[in-house]
Amino acid sequence: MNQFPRWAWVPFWLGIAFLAIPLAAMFVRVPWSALPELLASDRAQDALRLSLLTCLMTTAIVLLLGVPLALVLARSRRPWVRALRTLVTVPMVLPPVVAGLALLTAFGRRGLIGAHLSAWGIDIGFTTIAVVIAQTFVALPYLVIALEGALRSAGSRYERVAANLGASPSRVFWRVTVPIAAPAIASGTALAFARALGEFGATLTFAGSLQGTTRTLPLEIYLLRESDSDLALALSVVLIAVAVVIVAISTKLSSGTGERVVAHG
Amino acid sequence: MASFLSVTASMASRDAQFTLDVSRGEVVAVVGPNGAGKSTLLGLIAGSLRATGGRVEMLGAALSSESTHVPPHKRTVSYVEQRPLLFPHLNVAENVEFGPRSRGARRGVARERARAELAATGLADLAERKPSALSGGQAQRVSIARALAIDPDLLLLDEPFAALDISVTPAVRSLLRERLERANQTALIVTHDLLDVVALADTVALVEGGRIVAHGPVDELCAAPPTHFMAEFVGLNLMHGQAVETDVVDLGGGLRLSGIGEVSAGSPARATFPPNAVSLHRHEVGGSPRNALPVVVRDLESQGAVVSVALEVETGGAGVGVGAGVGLGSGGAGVGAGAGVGLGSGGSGTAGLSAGAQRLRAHVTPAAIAELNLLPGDRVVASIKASQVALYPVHQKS
Amino acid sequence: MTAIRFRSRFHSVALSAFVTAAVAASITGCQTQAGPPGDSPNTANTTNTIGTNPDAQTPSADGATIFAAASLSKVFPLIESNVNYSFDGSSGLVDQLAGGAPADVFASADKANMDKAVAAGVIEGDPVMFATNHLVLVTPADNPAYITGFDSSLDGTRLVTCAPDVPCGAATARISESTGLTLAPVSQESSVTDVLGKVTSGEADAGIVYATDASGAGKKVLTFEIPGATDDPNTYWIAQVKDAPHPEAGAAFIAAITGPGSAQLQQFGFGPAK
Repeated sequence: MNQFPRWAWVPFWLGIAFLAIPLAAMFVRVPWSALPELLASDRAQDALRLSLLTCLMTTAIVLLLGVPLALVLARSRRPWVRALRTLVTVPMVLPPVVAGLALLTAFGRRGLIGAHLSAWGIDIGFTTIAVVIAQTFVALPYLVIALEGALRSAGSRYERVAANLGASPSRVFWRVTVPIAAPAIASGTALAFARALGEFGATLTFAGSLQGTTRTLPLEIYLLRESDSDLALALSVVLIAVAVVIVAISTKLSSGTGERVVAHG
Repeated sequence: MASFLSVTASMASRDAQFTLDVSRGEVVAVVGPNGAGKSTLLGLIAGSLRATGGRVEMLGAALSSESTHVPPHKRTVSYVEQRPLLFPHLNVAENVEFGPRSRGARRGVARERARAELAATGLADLAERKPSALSGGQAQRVSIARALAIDPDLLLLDEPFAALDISVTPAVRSLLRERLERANQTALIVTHDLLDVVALADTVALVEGGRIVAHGPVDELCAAPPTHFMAEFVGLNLMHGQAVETDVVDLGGGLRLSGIGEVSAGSPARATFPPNAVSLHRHEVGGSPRNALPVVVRDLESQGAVVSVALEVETGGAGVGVGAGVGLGSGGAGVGAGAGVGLGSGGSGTAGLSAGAQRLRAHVTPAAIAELNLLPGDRVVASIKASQVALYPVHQKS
Repeated sequence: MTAIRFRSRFHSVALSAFVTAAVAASITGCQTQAGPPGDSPNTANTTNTIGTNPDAQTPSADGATIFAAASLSKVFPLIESNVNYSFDGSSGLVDQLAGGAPADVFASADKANMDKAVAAGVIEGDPVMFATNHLVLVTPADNPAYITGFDSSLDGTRLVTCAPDVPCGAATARISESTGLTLAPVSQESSVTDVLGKVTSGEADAGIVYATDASGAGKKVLTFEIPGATDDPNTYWIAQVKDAPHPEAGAAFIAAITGPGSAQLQQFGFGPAK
């Protein structure tokens, strides 16, 4: 009664093994007994704290910009809006280093915008803000694309009904669009958070690497390979754990049917 | 008399141009073939579509004109769609509260309004349910309650029963009728079901080809359907011609149809008769008082106990057809049946039928089909009892 | 193609005596003698027609696989072009070798990583130092922060260095300690390339990089010598890899680097081996 040929099990297990073995291998190498001590170190704590802080800031910005952005992309019929949809996906396919270079040429001290900011005494480079900018640049498209697809397939019928009942466009947005799209927003946010957490190349190129200021978990792990591979492994485990939790949440929310209670009034 | 709702609006991209006047408390059944423009008409009134010309006025104020377009949420118009479309994240009571809240009512007031509306709709027990836990009929009742909770000046219903199970339709329909009557609610209801027209509507607005070709009392339009669509809608055959005597109509090509009625010789007339008044024969039946028309079988369709046979009249190559200049479709003005008001004819003049053969339908038994060995393309004779043919004069637009 | 091939061969051949005497014996031990001439796919014996002693088994580096520090990526191909290079950070290369990556020669940008490779048991024989490199201070060409050298003019500027975890950062820390000049970098990069990139792009006011990097950046940077930096140079080491697929070619490569290659190395800013 299976919906697939029996031989599909072979590539299935090969694929699973291919994905699982590197992770398993790393888990075997992790010095579990020393883990608490390793993670209690200043470097680990700073990197963890910085990563969580910047990812939360990034996620907030991504939500603020991304939800309305996705809505306009999904609903507007203007031809140039359609053209912009392609633009939104570009950072997703950009090699991270290229993203970093792009940000540098825009916000760097000699960049298009950065030069003016610098003249005003605002320097973004080597600050935590730069990390957030780099993360937002690469993470924003993930929310927008996920949400735009969901909004598009859901259609605008509930919005139309709400408008006919007398709800202003803003009220429709807050009371109808957002609650109904909540599962898609949640899963898109989780994706964006995960992408921000793993962001490495653009941060390295654009923001630099200083403990407690710009050196996020991935940068610290990269650096620690050179000197303290045990701590590098320990932090990798933390990164994987956070990622797994986020992916699990994302999967659960996106498969949900929107049967959550949303306060109304 | 100033009308409650006045539409003289066009939508160029859909080749639609509507003229319609509705009185307060009038329930208009909007009928017409698929793609005729019924939903466009509702969209223009609701404000989801913007007219490219003309005006939509309600209570003397412009909803839409050259210079203004009141957005949907600022119109006091409710819209019930084919599907209930209850907000899935809100429970039944919250769905009904949504409209009053959106129009600025305080939470307590809105809640009270919703409770009253649900009670009136017989849904008080379901107030806390989520839409996903309702049956289709219950959901559409909530949808109607939600639309009425904003006390709309005008209620638009777009095939509100089309998506419902047949078994629950009568209950929802009678609920709607009760609610419409109690509130003296002005409403437009798009439907494909004659029962809706008979049970709910005061008048019929017939939409064909992006125009309102007739608007008049239900009884009048059903008894004397001005177009083929309307005739089929009410289950009658409709034929056009020129009266040659007070009870005989010339269909063209020398074919004549006798019936009952008072038409004046020389003026255009139409004839209606039910499909079961038609019988089919391989050869002309001699000496019969019946009308006999040479026809070609176009299609056979089983409809329960009878077979519906689509026929086309052969006018002997005379190419008569129906004169395009005949002012068909300027629907009968006259005595308003329900609302008791004079209803302006909505027709835009000539809804001329496409020139060509006249069509009719015969309902015969499967046994008769077998006996005649009837197949599409066959030439047969259709005989029609004169006593079942009703003749009407066609009112020419002055 | 032919010209390059000839030149590399020329190096190998012309220095065959030196190779055999000075390097091959000491570094590769019995490896060069152990394998029969035909083992190497590009045995000098069959193709070599130049040389004073046609009977000498003059080895060629052709076909060898070289794992070398990224800072050598420009100069090595000019010394030997007919080999397969894999340039990467030294520590990453040690990880790869320890993981069983097939290579003939490992060239490390510092002693620590070569020691690590030896400790991991992937090195055959004793490593040799073949070049040195020392730290310098660089600024963008227009020197926007008016830096005058490795001194207090660096205070309050946007200085970028390597992180102490990587060799260039460790060396920077030692210099800071020995000179008593406290550094407050705004970023500690994981590679010297990143430091240089921050300076050439103008993001940083100054950076501490190796002389070779400054030399490679040309006119895009101003270079300041750091006092005492040449006393504590970074050392480059080269060695044959254990169980190498082409031991003879590997030995020949090492001979080329330590011999005639030193001239090219110095052109790229490397200092002489001590």
